Amino acid sequence: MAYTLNFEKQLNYNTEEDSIAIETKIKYVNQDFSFAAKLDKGASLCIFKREVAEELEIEVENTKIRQRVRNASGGIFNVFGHFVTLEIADFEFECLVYFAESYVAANVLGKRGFLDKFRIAIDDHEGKLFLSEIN
Amino acid sequence: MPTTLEQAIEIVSTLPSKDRENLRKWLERQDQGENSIKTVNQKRMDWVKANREKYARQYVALIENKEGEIELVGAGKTHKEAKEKAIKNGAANSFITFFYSENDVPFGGW
Repeated sequence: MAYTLNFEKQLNYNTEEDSIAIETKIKYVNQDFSFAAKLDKGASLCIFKREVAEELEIEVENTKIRQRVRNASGGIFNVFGHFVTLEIADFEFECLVYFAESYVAANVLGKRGFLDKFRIAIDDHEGKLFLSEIN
Repeated sequence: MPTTLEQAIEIVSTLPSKDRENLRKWLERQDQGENSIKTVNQKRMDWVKANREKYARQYVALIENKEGEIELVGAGKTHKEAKEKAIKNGAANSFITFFYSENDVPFGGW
């Protein structure tokens, strides 16, 4: 049996790299900043480096939403939640993202805040990511 | 090359008074928009803080009601469920978000 899915957008990514990096624009009040974020289906949240918040003049610790998260080796670190707008593949949406208190190796787009807002398909052989926003 | 503040002031100083008044109003609108976004974000944070443990590990659909307060219009274990409840309650354009309990330690990736 064959299955067909339709998507609104297609993004290309470099299959020679170890991860799927997505060009992401983050907006807060009247500032915006573009950076690459890694798609991580296993990550619970969207977690960005502290430097991303600093580009938007967001005070990382100035929030009422604090969370402890764990990494693959079991280490625990603190992240701080802020409501921002993300723009990915021309889709613009508000979401709760978290900024890491200390150094993290990558900006990550995870399940809550990103994957739960989209229907996604990956063709890793061709380096194509297909996206549709869930309405 | 981006325009410097000094250059902008020099340009503005040559504008007729009516244009300067329009510029002043535009700047005020910009400030109001900025404050409005900050206010909504602050209200959402306050709502999450007040309701965090009650709705932990759920999706919540929130709106800013006519009184300017954050109001819950739907909740569920999935994004879809929260959205459907919000639509049923007459809020097609709600803001849907998810949060954990303060005691949870979710997986952050890598």
